Amino acid sequence: MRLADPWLLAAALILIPLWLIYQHRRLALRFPSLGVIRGVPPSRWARLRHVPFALRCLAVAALAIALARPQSGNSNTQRTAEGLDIVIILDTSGSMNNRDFTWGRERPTRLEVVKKVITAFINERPDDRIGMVVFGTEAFTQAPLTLDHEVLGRFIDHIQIGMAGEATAIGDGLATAVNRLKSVEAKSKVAILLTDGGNNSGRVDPLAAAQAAASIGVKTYTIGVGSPPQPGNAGQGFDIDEKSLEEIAKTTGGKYFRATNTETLIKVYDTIDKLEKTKVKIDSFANYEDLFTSLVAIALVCLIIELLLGLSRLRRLPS
Amino acid sequence: MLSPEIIQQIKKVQFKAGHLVTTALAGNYLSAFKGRGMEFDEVREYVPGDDVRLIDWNVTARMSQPYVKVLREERELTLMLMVDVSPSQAYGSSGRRKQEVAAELAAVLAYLAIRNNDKVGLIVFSDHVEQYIPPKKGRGHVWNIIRAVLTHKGAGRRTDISGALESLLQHAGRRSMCFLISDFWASDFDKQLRLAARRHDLVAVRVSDPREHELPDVGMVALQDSETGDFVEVDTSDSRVRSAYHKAAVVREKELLGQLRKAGVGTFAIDTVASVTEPLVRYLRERERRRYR
Repeated sequence: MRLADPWLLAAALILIPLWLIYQHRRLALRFPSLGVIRGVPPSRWARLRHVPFALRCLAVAALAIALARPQSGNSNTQRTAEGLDIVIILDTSGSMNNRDFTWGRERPTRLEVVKKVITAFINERPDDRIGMVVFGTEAFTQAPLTLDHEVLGRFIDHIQIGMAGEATAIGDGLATAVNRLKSVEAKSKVAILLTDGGNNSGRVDPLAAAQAAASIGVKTYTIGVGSPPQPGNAGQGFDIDEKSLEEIAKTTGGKYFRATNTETLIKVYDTIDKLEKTKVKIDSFANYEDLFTSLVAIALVCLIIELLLGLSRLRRLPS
Repeated sequence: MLSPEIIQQIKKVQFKAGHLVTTALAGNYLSAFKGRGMEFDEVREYVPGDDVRLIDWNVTARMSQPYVKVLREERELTLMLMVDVSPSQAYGSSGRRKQEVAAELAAVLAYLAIRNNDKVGLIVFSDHVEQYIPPKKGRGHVWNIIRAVLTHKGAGRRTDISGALESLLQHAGRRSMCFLISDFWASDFDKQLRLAARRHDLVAVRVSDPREHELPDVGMVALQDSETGDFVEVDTSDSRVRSAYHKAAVVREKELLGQLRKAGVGTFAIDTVASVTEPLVRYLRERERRRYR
């Protein structure tokens, strides 16, 4: 229900002068004295003497509402999103067990932090097909590309350290992702590679994998995770091969990020989220039906009843 | 000045009244109000032609010349007409308005008085005394009175009977006969009514219109009180409303009659549809009868 021209409701303001005129109508027969009539109880019909006016007011109100064009209908919104295909490549090597990142007050492992951030990232992108590849000594697909992000979330929950071996096979991971994206027809394909070490295992050279990715148009964002070396824990799990990660990103047209703590990690995913915008087309169309006919009918019926009453039993002298 | 129609109307009323006085009221009905009869006035020298029975022998013996008694009729009566011209008197459902009827009755009474060589005075009142014509004799004076009563345009908005009676008590010194012609739609005049009835021979003439007793069946009617300006809507199509109205009117009439009787005031009623003189004649006859009983 809505009114197409709500300002025309102002037509109902006519009721104010109508009411004032009705209140102050002084058309009456002069009578010597009402002293005798005062004591006469009013008849049943006399009690209804305001009914015609009430009906007229009702008719005016109904017409005013009819003028404002009430409509019923539904507006349909259709959302057509042209999603991306994203494969998240996650390092599950032993070094992900380091507790140098914080989550609130806790100090979970890097992997736990990364999982939480990724889950948040996925929730931000409902229109994209997202897949999951994990790598360690080898690499495999943890989740295929899917729009069912709920299932994806469950798959992410199941990721554990060492599930693919203790080493770091970046090249294999990227190659697996490329393999996943090779046959799909999305307009843009993105891989997000997250690691905390250098390539020290696997059969595929990371740069070769990057070449392959570039050749089928997979843009690869690389993220190096790990707090900078500090006195006391120098080099603990901090052997990111930044150069090759940067190289991979460059080759595929992506970008390399460094995440030294949780905040920067979240920021990195935010940045990627912003860089990879999904095209969403929203079509909304409205289908309205005018309802004024029933209102006009009500007004008409009111006026007819008023007229009939006014001409018959409630006819008033002087009119 | 007066428009030709009004002059015509006055002449008509004058003629009608004069005619009525010489026919229907041929008897000396006003004698019903007469006082004790003859009253000694003075003595004067006898002139040939005087009734010898009127010779005052005591004075004649003293003066050694014949003297006669001059007797004056005590019946030199003053008639005061009090006419209500308040807005409620302007009503009339059948051509004649209550005020016109009142004026007609006043004219008849004035003629009656003049024929008997009485003085006539007039008080026209509404919520104040609008016009006062002191009592006088003569045909020309009757003309004045009739004209005043017929052409008077009421200015007041209410009816103040007590005020009018008070001014009567002020102006009329001698006992006079007084007709108070009104519809008595007023309040709080009981005290003055009693006072005036003690000093004067007061007759209350109740003027009404049939609509004041019975309502016709004409549906819903909006009525405005001509004096207070109040509004009321009456369903005249409801028989219960009509009968209740009639009952209320009868009750009101009874109450008024009781009030007038208690105050010692004679009364009769006239209305806008029937003859004015008939009730007058009936009243005067009845009064005469009572006097001689």
